[in-house]
Amino acid sequence: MNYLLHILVLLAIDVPLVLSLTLMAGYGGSLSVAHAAYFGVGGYFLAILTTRFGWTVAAALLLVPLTGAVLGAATGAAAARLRGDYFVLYTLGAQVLFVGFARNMIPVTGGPFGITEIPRPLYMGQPLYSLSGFALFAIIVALVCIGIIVLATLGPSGLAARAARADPMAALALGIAARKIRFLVVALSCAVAASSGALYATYFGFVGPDSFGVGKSILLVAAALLGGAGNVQRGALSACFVVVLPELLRFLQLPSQLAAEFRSMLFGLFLLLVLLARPGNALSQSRRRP
Amino acid sequence: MLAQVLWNSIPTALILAVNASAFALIHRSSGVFHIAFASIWPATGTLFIQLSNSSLLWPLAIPAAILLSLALTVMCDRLVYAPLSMRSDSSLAAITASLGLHVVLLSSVLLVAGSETRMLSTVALSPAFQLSQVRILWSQLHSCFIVTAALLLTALILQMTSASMKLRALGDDPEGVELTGLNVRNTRSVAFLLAGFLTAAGAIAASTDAGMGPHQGMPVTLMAAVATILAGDRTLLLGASLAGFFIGTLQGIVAGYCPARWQEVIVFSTLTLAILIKGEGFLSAVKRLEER
Repeated sequence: MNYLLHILVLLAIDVPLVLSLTLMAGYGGSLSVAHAAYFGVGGYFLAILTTRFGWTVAAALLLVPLTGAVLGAATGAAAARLRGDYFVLYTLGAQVLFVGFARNMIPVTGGPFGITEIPRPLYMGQPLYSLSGFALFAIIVALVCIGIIVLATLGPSGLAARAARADPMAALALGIAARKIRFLVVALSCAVAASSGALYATYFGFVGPDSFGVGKSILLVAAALLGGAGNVQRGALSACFVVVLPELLRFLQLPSQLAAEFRSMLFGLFLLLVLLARPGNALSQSRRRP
Repeated sequence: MLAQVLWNSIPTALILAVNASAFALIHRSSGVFHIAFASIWPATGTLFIQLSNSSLLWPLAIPAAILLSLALTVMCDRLVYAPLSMRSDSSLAAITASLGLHVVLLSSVLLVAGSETRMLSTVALSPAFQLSQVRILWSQLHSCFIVTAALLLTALILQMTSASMKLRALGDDPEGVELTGLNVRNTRSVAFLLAGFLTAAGAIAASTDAGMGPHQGMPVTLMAAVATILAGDRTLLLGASLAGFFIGTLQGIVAGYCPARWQEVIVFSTLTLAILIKGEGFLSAVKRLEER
């Protein structure tokens, strides 16, 4: 039972995270390879506020999305300036920079050893150590995040974002501020990723630079594209797949190092297959034949 | 002190120049940011070191390393980039696919060779000589020679044949090139073969100088990308190799005076700033809005 609850918590962390990237790619038209960094910023921010300044997890969780949004705004500004592959390269640089700072700013981040003893949220004045209680808390946070994403994709705002992504010039002619929308979508996506990071930090009680590396970002890109960028339902399904696959690999009883590499290879292959086999992929900009 | 720091930065700068040339050759002719370079480079270096340290197989080290690099680089194009390009997929799809290729290749290298950094068994015993106040290692001279020879040979091939013109034309207007009757796939393969050769030269030189680990590829690749962006699209080799040399020298000087752990942060700050400030390249020709 505890194992299933653990999987449920992992799903509550990863589903909003993958959906936030799906939102950025599908509605913002920007594919970020720094999503693990935004996830990490949320984790580190919560860890620092709770362990160094004595904040409660609930109070820190309210501030974390704002930090993510501010960082996302900087990325959003870059997204508005840079075209596709240059933006990917920019975010790849930002991702490596984040890990560099996390590893080297030892007084703030704890360096390679990270930050430990991050507290759990309080319920009736007591830390929430029971797994069922924490799972419920994580599901509530995840549902709030997913709800915000779904709201952003529905109605006029979603249509405007789709139009801005499909043809910014035509959208502009219709009075839709394409750049502003792209900027807001990226900021919202980063805020959700940071919230997932905060949830991760309080669940595991530890954050370190290796948890938020380039590999994690690439895995997230694979998951987002597997579902099809911009598709919330399939995005959620592919996030479930990303969480469940490593658990299935456990049954092969491979040595841990071998299993990690094997898992990375599988995700890389999935990413390639998705790109090569799905002409309708959200990344494709197939030209109409005359 | 300054003279020694400057000399130590020269092999690094030359290695980055050759890496940037390989990266730029692919980007300029096919429009692909070849991130898979980050795993091909250490795979080549690791094979070179493994074979060089073997008592029986050492004569095969250089040819095997070059062959591996050529095969992997051309395979990336034939199996992934070319099909995406034929479907007129965006450059975003190509760079994402390249990331996928990198993950697959790097995991394969880690599964086969492990994650530790390898050194040539002769590096520790490399003889040195003193030139004024500068101590020069023979292994550094070997690295400089390998890289310079590879760059000159590639430049000569491009200069003496029509390859340079075809590759530039391919980069500017692939559909126009196809209409002239030129075989686009084969012309692309020429670019990837030359880039594979330069990748092998860079990997062998780096292995000779300071050893090679599987995770060293990504920082090197991103620096090559910076050089490619800084160089713009006016030249195939010259701009990128000069930009690479400049960044490598800067990196060497930073390594001489700053703690090594901050080196990566400084270099990547340069990358993000370079992309933000001048995403179309510092040496590029000015283009009209509709051409961008």
